[in-house]
Amino acid sequence: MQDMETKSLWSQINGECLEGDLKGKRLDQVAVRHTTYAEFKSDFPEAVMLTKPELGPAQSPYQNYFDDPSRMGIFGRVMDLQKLEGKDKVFGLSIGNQAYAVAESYLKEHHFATIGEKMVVVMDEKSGSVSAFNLPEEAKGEKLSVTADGLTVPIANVVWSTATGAVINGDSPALEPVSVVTAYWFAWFSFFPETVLVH
Amino acid sequence: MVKRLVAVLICLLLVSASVAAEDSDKPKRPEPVKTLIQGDTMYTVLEPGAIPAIFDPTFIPFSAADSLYHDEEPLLAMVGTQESRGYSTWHLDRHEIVNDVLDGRPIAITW
Repeated sequence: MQDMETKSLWSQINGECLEGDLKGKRLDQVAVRHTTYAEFKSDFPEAVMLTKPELGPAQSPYQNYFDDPSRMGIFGRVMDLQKLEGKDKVFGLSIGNQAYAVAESYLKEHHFATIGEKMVVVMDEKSGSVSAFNLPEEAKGEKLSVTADGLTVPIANVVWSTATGAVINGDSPALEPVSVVTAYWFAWFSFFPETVLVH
Repeated sequence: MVKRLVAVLICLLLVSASVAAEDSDKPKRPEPVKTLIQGDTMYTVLEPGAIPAIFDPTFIPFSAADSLYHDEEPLLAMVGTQESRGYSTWHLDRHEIVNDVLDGRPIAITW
């Protein structure tokens, strides 16, 4: 990214300014959900949508790139990817200086992953969207589960929405969303070769 | 690590434009310009602004959006305390960044 005022260059992955007058500064990352139009309309009927000129075809203009496992980046990548394939999708976040990534395949099987007992990355069963939240004190170290109702701490009888973090049942505050980056493994691993991978 | 970070940064920033060029009959673009960032090579393959950022986004209710969106169209959804907004990633493939304000806070939606 480039800011128009100083022409400084910024990383999309972690918001760090890499070059220019603002070098070293970092943008705050905010939580964003990956979802679909139908799901978003159902979950947030009062929301608004970015307008666009037309309906368009029912796929990305770059679908060929997304579908081809051998195409990684503009120039291609030759690297030891280790634990996953390059175009496998992961969900990445950091706690302090330690990067973590959760493989999409893991979430499809297990529905959630706790990160350092401080955060949880959870896949909504209905939509497949992935969100991350800070864990409240009553959930840290406790067994969690994901049911059709939501993210549950059985011992405390608390249930939260996996889509929004809102409390569905029990006496607990809503979960605080945290930013999680959706990326191809080759990209995340390039930025964070020391990442702890949940897969 | 920085070298890979920079190379992949450019990949992430420009991969959609690159793929679009490869998939169309557009004329070949110039050779990449190499510069150094933190001692590592950065490849500039497009002029700044070649992928048009959205600076003044306009939003519409679902009643109007139904004719412009497919049900399965993937979105980036921002859920604030006062408002919530959705951004089509198929649309962002051609713009890659939206300069917006949510709950009074300037944000950049990037894809």
